[in-house]
Amino acid sequence: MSEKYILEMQGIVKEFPGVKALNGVQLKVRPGTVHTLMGENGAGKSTLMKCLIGMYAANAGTITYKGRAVKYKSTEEALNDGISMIHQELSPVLERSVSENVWLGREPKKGIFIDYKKMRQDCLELFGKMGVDLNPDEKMKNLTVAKMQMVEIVKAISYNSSIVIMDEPTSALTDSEVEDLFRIIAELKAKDVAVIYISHKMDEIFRISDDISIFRDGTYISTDQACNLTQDEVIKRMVGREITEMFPKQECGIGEVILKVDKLSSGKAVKEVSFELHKGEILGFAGLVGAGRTETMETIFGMRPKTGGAVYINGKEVNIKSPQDAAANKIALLTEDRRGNGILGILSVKFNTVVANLKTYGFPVDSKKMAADTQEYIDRLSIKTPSMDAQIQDLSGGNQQKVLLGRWLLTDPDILIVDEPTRGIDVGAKAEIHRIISDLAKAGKAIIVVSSELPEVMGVSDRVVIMHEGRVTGVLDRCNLSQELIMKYATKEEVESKSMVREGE
Amino acid sequence: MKKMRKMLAGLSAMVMVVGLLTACGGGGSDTDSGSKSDGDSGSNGGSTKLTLIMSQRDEWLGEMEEAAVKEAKEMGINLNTVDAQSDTSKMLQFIESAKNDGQKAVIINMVDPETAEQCVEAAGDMYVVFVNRYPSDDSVLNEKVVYVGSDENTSGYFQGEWLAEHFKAEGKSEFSYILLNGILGQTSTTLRTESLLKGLEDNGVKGVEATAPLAAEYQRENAQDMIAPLLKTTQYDAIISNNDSMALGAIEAMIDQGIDPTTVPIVGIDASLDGRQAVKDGTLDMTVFQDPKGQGRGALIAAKNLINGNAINDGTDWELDETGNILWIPFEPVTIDNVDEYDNR
Amino acid sequence: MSIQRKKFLSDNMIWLVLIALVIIMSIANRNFATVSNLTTLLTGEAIKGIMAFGVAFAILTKGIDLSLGAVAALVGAVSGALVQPTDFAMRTLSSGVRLPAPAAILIGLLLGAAIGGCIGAIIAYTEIPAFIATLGAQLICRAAAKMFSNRPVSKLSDDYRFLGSGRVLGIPMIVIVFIIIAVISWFILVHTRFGKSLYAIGANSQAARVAGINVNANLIKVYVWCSLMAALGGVLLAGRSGSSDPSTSGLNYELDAIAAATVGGTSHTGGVCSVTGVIAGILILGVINNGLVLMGVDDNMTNILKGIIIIGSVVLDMRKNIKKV
Repeated sequence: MSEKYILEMQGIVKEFPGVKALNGVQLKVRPGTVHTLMGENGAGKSTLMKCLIGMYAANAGTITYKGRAVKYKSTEEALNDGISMIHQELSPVLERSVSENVWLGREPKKGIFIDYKKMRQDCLELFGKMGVDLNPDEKMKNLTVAKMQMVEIVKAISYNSSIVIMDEPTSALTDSEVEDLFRIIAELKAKDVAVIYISHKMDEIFRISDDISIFRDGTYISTDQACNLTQDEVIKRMVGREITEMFPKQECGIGEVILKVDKLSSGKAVKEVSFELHKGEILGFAGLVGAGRTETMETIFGMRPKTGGAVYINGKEVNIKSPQDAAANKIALLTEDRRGNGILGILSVKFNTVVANLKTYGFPVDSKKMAADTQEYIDRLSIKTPSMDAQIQDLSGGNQQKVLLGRWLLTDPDILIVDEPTRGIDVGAKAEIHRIISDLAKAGKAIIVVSSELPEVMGVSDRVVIMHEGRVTGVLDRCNLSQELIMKYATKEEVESKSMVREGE
Repeated sequence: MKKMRKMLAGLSAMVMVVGLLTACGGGGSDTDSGSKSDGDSGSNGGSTKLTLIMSQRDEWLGEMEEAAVKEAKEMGINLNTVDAQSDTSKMLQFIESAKNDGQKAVIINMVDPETAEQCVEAAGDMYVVFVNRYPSDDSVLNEKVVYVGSDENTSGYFQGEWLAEHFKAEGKSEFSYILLNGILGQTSTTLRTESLLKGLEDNGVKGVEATAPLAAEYQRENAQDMIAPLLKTTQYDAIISNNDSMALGAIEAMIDQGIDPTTVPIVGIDASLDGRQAVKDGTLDMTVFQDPKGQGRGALIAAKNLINGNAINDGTDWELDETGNILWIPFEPVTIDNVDEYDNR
Repeated sequence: MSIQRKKFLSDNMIWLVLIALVIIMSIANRNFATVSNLTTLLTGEAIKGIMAFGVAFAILTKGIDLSLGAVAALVGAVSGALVQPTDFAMRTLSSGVRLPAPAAILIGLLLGAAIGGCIGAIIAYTEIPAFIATLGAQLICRAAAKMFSNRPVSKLSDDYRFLGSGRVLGIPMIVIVFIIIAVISWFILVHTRFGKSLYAIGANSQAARVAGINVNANLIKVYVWCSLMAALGGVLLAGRSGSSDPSTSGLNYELDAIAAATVGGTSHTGGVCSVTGVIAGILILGVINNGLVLMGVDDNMTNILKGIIIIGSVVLDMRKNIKKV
């Protein structure tokens, strides 16, 4: 029996203060397969993997790997035993080269000196094997997130692992990069390596998975072969209920122009971007990673210096130089980098909710009103948290995002910009966030949604602006939307003036 | 559970460390173990407990402290020495602690001689013995508040006298010098420098300072760094220092630059161990012995005499000033002729 | 053990340590737990404590202030020089009148605030580490103090000395000032927008900026506050001893203040600070300072113990606050 599985985890329990993250969870992985773990954020997938590789010590349960009981005390131990993990948040040494990152901590040596030549050669060899096109001497900080991801994967493989765990590896990758990743995964499978894959993207899961295990709220639900499952079934098991509509789109009247951006530029990242946003409208922004969408939003919000062009709100030109100015003009921005410039990790949910709205609480600050406001948004956005005093970093990604959304809604903005609002968020929370956005538009707010997930952009938007290398290359109405058309604009340089800006229609 | 245990472990470890240190402190100096064990820190129980507050600890003050500790042992006094680390506020706190502990007298080597009044205030009913640093405002001295030290008006004077004789013998009535001051503004520095100039003047020799005023803060390294660039760029006939440490720093700098230190008269004050060795080597021509052991012993004797109601020089041949509240421990000039006498002082 | 009890222990560890120390000291020396000795203890720690409240704000925003002691020396000397008797031969300012104490103190505090404003502006706008900026400020302020007067500024007027050495109802003014500052610090941190902003900046300055908090302006205010506390410390130091020696006044006080704030659980990774914690930190170090002196323990041993406690407290703090990875 045990021969059949390379890895068996049984009855795993993991408790954190105040939360039971895993409650008797099991997982059985066959060698040479892609085994996908599914579940909403907070379901315990990542925690389970961290228990496996020794980052966390499980409170109970057994792990059998290659027929023997194991209990790793550190990730290093697991790594040396052939289990490696590529984390959701990468932690490369930015100032060092690619090859140094691959061999970090186990550099080949000549005497007491590092043998850089061998390091480089070994690296090239690996790249060749995996079909990765990277310069081993390039500094890590010069790479795109996708390339960094590749380096991490190469690094994991270089340990001759029998199990490679990938935690949402594609969340920052472009489609072609995803293809590269899948090719590598296929090669790993061919070498009898088991890949444990964590992702929320249904289409890719069904493309590559052999087995799918589903978790919900720290408990194990089921394991099935992928061919025996349907998307709807998976979603149903994950959320424990049927999700009727992923992108609930409500018809609402679109009002007059509230925001007009005219030939906005910011350095090399944003080049003469123009568009208009109407009240009650959801304007999608699509494009490849690096197309300048985030930078455009940051320029509008005053986070990055404007080097040209103008921004008009309600027909009046505004000069926004800082996020404070933006807030004064009733603009809110839910940033893309939730951890980097979104949450205040060690502070409470309450603090995180009210922080953008501090000026309304008077002097001395009205703590009761803060608590009341927080409670209102916890209820309204159904935020799952042990209490409003819990540290926000202990919440799942989806709930963190909802707190941030609540933070901005509390400021009662006229214009809400959300950048990758559902990145790394599970299906259930995703649908909820889409509903909230749709509700807001119905209430007359003007909303910009920046997203790299085409189905999302297409699902929620009234119109979609497509950018490529800092320029707007197309604007499409909802009725004209198709994935092919968006990709066409997203990958080409010249601008079709016809569809540039919808004027006076 | 695990975290809990760790925290308890941390707590108990800390308690143990404190206990250990307490034990160390108690047993480390054998004079105070007696009073500690019966929990009696006051003076009525055979052994008297006193506190000596040091302004800081340098070589000379260390010798003084050592002599005081030795004397205390011989007298059967339980002496607690503490270092105020140049912090007036800390010094005042130490005085108050001694008062709170019910001690009868406190010996203070002041951080800042301007604060004598505050020291006396903080000491409350305790007798106060100021040692080595003379109060700027000496009106605080009375039958309960006394000073033990050497008369700084004579230290520099000895240097001046020696230098005058030296240059007169060479037939000069004028010479230039580099002067290494201690800490500017400090009474000892001021007096040493003033009395030096007076010593020169009284003996009919004119000294000209070859540089802008230098303040090396009594530190050997400071003096070395400060004088090094001047040695070859300045015209000077002598090097005068407010203490031996700085003079030694100057000698060090000269040797570094290949200048023979015996060619220039160099004078210091203190006759410290290293200073006396330099006198024997011929590099330091003259120094003035300020008796650290005498001051340390004297302070303790004065404290004991105060407690017992005797004159503060009782049992010694040291002299008092006319008020009877100052015990002078004399300065003595030291040259190669008499340096050996100081080896066992 | 229930999670609540674990949390209680972890949150109140510092008070348990303090209580344990007080018990040990009381047993070891019967003169420790007397009113007069505890007053001495508080008087001795009050100035460092006030500076600790200053630097705690800086540490809360992931900064530090190494200039506290030097600013104290400069302010002590300058404000002190304004209240020396006009007929005093060693007067620092050869001409000029003797100001009433409140005016001199106010000038001192304004000088402190101005220095803080400069330090804060440098940190906020050049983005150099606070460690470097305040290290430089330390050297400059100490040198400026020594240039201002090369000898102790003494014979300070009695009204000037009231804050530092006066008593009201038997309680030293210095302790009263400390308590007032503690209350003000608590009020700022818990009940003002400024205080809340500091937590946000410390936790994640990028996120704070996006959330519309003027990070630069708040950083400047932080260092104004720091230097203001240092200036107040300088006035108290001068008042306490009646003389302010520019070369030694406040020497290394910043380190004691940082130690107290650190032991009090102020996290150097930012975003964590409580006034009660800082008070506990000050008291722990004070109990050690005072208690071990009473026991006749060697200073070096005292410092070893302090070192162990500082490191130990940060180890505990890291375990508590850093997300378990």
